[in-house]
Amino acid sequence: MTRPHIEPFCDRDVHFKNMTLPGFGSGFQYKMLSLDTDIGSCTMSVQLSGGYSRPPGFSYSELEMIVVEGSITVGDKECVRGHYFFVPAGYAMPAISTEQGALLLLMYNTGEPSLVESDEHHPLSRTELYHDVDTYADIVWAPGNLVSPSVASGCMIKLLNFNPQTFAMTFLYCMTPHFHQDNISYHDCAEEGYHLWGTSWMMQFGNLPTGGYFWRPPYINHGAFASENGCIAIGRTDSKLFNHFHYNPWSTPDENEERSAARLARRDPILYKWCVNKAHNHPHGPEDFEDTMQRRGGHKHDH
Amino acid sequence: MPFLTDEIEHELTDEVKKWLEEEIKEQDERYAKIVAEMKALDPTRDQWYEEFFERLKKYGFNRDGDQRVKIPDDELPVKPDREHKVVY
Repeated sequence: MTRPHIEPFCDRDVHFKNMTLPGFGSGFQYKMLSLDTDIGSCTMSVQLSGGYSRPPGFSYSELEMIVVEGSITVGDKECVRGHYFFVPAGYAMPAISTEQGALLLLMYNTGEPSLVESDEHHPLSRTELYHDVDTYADIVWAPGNLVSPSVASGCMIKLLNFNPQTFAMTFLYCMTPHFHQDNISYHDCAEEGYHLWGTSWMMQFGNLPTGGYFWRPPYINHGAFASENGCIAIGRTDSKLFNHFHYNPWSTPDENEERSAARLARRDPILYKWCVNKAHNHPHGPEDFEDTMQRRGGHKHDH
Repeated sequence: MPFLTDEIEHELTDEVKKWLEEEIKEQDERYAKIVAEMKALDPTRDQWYEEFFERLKKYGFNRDGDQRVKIPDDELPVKPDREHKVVY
């Protein structure tokens, strides 16, 4: 079991709890949105009280964070609503504080929440992956047709992070007022979303308001979609996003998965045949020679 | 399904293990509540499905972006004789 299908859920319906894990200090309250039962990775909405501060430190898990309301001071930089951070595991962030308080969304990707006080990065940290950006001020909205087949006009995105190994993405998305799209979608990847503001409607689950959240495993039907007054949200996938559109609301995840394989067999028949014939010899996935070939420096790339 | 990117191995203390156990228990309860709420939405959802089919016939199915294809009535799916779920 990894993360269960949590959809729909609204964090406004539950109370904040004090964080009891070591390192986070007082004034750090959270609502758990979803949790991986195997490795403890999780997504939480977090309320920092006015006057909260924490020392410099790193997490053993990769972490993504966005300021939902209020502002925080990271080192000597003030980060306001919409500021996004991608923090590799072991990357020591400067001291963080907030004068008036802040609401954050924290996503621990590869392990449970942890905070080790340190002003030095962990030796294994891939520090070059760190980046942060004011998503509201410094990135413009782009059409949602980054993938094909694509969403309808009126659903736009801002790409925040992209993993070239897994094609996992983090992005803001918005729906303009009166957006609607009449199809049912599923993906070969897990998908997560949190409404920063506004309400959208989905045919299976009804309205998702401000604070609305979902963690959706692969192959779950969702859509048709609509938003009467518009909305803005943060979304993530854990691998490549492909829109499998259809109009059968009663298909099951197993049937959807089989349809994906059937479509792969039609689109990439030689690759499909190879996978089917040889999969039993590769329980951990096929070998990528770029990871294992001998290189002049004597090392291997093990991603 | 992890994000398969970046982690640093470390030992979990008893305090962390206990915290995880409590969070998993609460998540199980949250999941059960969602399943019940979605089951209660069944009659409304059935109506939404019918309205969806009407729109497909009248305005079309979004095949790709804004490209819409009208679906004739006899092409629409028949509800199977089994329990219908939206949360898995």
